[in-house]
Amino acid sequence: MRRLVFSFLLVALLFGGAAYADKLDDIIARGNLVCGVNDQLPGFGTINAQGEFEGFDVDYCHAIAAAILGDANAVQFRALSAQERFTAVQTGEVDVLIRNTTWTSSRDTSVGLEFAPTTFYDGQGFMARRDSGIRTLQDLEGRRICVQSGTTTELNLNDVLGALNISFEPVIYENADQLTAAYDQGACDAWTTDKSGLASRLITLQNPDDHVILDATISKEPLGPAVLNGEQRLFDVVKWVVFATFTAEEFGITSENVDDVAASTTIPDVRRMLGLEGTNISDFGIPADGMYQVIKQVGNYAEIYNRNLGPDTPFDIPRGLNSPYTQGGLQFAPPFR
Amino acid sequence: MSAETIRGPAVGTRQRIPFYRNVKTIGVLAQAVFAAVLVLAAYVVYRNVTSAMAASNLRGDFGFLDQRAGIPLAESPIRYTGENTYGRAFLVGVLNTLRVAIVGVALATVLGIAIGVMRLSRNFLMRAFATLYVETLRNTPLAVQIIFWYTALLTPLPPRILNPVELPGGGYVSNLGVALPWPYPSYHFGAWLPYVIAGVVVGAAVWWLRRRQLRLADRPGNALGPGLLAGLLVMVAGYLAVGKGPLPEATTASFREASGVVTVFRDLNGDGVKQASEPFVPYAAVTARIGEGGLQVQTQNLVESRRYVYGRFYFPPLRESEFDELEVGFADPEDAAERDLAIHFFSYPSRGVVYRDLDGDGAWDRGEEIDPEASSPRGYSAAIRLSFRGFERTLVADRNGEARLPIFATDFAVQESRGVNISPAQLFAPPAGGGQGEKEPLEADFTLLESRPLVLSKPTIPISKYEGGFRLSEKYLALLLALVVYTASFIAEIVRAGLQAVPKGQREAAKALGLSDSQAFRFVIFPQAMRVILPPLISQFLNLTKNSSLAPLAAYSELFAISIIIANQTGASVPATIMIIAAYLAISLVFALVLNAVNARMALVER
Repeated sequence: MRRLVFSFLLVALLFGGAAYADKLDDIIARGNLVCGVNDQLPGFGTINAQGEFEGFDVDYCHAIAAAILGDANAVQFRALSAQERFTAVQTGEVDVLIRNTTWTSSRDTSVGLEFAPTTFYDGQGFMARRDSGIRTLQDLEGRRICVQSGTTTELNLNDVLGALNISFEPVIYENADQLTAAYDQGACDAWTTDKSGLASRLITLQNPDDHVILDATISKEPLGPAVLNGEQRLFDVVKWVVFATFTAEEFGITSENVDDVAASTTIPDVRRMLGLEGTNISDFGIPADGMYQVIKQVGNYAEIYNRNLGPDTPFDIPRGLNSPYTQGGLQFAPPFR
Repeated sequence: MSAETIRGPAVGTRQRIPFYRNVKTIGVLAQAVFAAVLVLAAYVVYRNVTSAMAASNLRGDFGFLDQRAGIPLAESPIRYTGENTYGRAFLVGVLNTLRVAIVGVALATVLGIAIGVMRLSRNFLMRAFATLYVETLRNTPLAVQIIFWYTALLTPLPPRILNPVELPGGGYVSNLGVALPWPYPSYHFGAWLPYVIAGVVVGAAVWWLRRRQLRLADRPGNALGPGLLAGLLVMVAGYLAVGKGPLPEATTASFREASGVVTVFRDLNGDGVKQASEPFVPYAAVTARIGEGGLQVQTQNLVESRRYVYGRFYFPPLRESEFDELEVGFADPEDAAERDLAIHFFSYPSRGVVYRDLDGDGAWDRGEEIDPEASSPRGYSAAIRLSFRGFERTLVADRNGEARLPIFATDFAVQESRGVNISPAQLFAPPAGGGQGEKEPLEADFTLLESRPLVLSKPTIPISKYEGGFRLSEKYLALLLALVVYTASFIAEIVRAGLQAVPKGQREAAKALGLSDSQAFRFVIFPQAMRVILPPLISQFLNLTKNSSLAPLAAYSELFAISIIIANQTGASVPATIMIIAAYLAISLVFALVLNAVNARMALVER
């Protein structure tokens, strides 16, 4: 019950007048980055057979650590449930939250987060048993739908099916593993989450061929890293680490060729990003080679994507909206200048 | 005069004692200081909390309670939709907690006493069973037990919802829990109400008079029986006298074909459509008649009642007698003939299996439903269609005036193509024309029935869930079962201790008076044991109530689960925590208050 820990933390807050320091300085002084991630979403955040965290979101934790501390492995991971994640940021338990979290207006305001650029554009979808006959949203009429509590997913489900005048019975779980197990055993006719989540969960079911993901997409789910409101310096770093991975892909810089590029390139944008000219990177309060380390140790966006979600993985999620803007996608980075 | 010369402690004269040595003053002062320290501490804590909350952007106000919640909740004893507020969602949580706690306490007490008595039984088998029960359940964590009941027992093992076990009288048991026929007060209940009140008054009067009579005559006897009987007689007579009442003016049923939902309401403006201002008629009985239509399902491969079954198909439970004319067959007969497939019914017309008659005996044999050409064991995949003429079913609307029929269709080609892909941008735009396809409407006819003050609502399964009747979800049952079985093991030990605390001489004295074993237990031993049992029993009741907060493990939405969702959706984690604490405190205090009053009545009055 990690939630309990947070309750205790709250109690601790009663008595500790919390000495306030800048989070970025804290991270540098501490020598590692505390990153809140998912441990139940294969492809995005999960624990592998060696007991290490891996996934798309996890790689962004590594990237931020590489930028600030020069070492991609200087990360302490905290596995958070959907319910715990915001309290963990609010109380300072984690420095950065990279847990397939949707950017919404209320999370910017009342929850008090600051969202870095979207790393993964997603949308909410449904999965149903192939032999249930459910193919469209209308077929969900009167059905039992499993949904994870404390997510934007449950709010969208309620709003969208309500607007379409489709009545359904929600079956609510707070834990994604419990939810998929329940769906697999037939506790509900369909279940809903972000489409990337459906794709990543599909392969964990007893018989993946027995299930279909419906075509309908019912929401916009931009997923990205978030920090606490007011941590402006850390926020800037996180934001530009994400942009660096986009820029690197745009200019064809990969972890393998980054040294050659650094030695030969004359493109000013790239030179500034790699810390070869100007003080653009050291102005963030991190080492001048911070972004170079990101690309060297973790890779550009395409490398991160393909390693975790690409064609060589069991998930094979098409890039779609997550392609760079030059290829019709939405991933676009402002210039390093 | 000599008295003046006596020296000694000043008697009668008031010598001033310094205030710091005055016991009374010190007492008052100490209290004041203590109170001041408390107030100061509370203030420091409050200031720390608010400043720390402000520093970490935590929300401290309760304004969110009036906001639209938009969270779907699985089960609610009161009307709740996503359009209601967070405040109402919280209320649903409190009621769901009470629903588990009150029933749980009653059942745990009964089971606990039974096991406790069994532990002292002279029968070895009973004693051994009781010991095993207590030792196993008391020493296993409750969380494990809840997960066990929910995951291991209730979800995968029993029959599926579309293939439920039917109980005599019209109830169902399936993996979605239990549904029972249940009498609900109809629109006509008001007419009977005076008789109900009269029955209670008459019953109470008879009971009181009889008791007084018995007391005056100093005779033993039972006053409760005659009282109950008299009260019931009045009520039953009233029920028969009231009879069936006419429906409220302009009561109409409307039907939405796409969902099979029948809505019973008062059509005040006569347009046949339910407006927001037109009231529902709850618990009205209505006979639905559908002229012509059909249903189509796919064969399935699934785990049912502990074994994997292949190539099965299930229509929602339907009776042959509900139809005038009925035909079940392949949706695509040519394809089925080509593949040499046949249908075998387990229960006509609701369920069956698709098979290929391998041995040519014209009947289904076990194993013939598995496709030998498939790489892994699979049944044949086929669409099964039920076509009918004249379907009739009598339904009882629920508290929202809604009842549900299976979703029948007239034209399956349209049904298959009716889906429209929806992207976020299109979602809230007005529905585009076309798309849905032209479709012949069902020939549906509804007759509203006049009813008596109570109307028996029988559960039905129109789609893959229960409608009508009294429903206990599998989540509720799993949590209830775990709490009852777990708490009963503690109560059993308390009962055993209480019984053993009664001196042996009491039993011997009772025997000497000629009481039988059971009389001695009921009138001598148990009442005395109760005095020892009750105080620790109360704390077990409170434990059960608080343990219900493990409900999320069984996916049951109670106080704790809903509050956490609210905290997460609004960011108001501190106010939500305060609400959780306040609610549990209130529930526990009320419980303790009531039970302590009972205890005070039971306790030995010392003179």
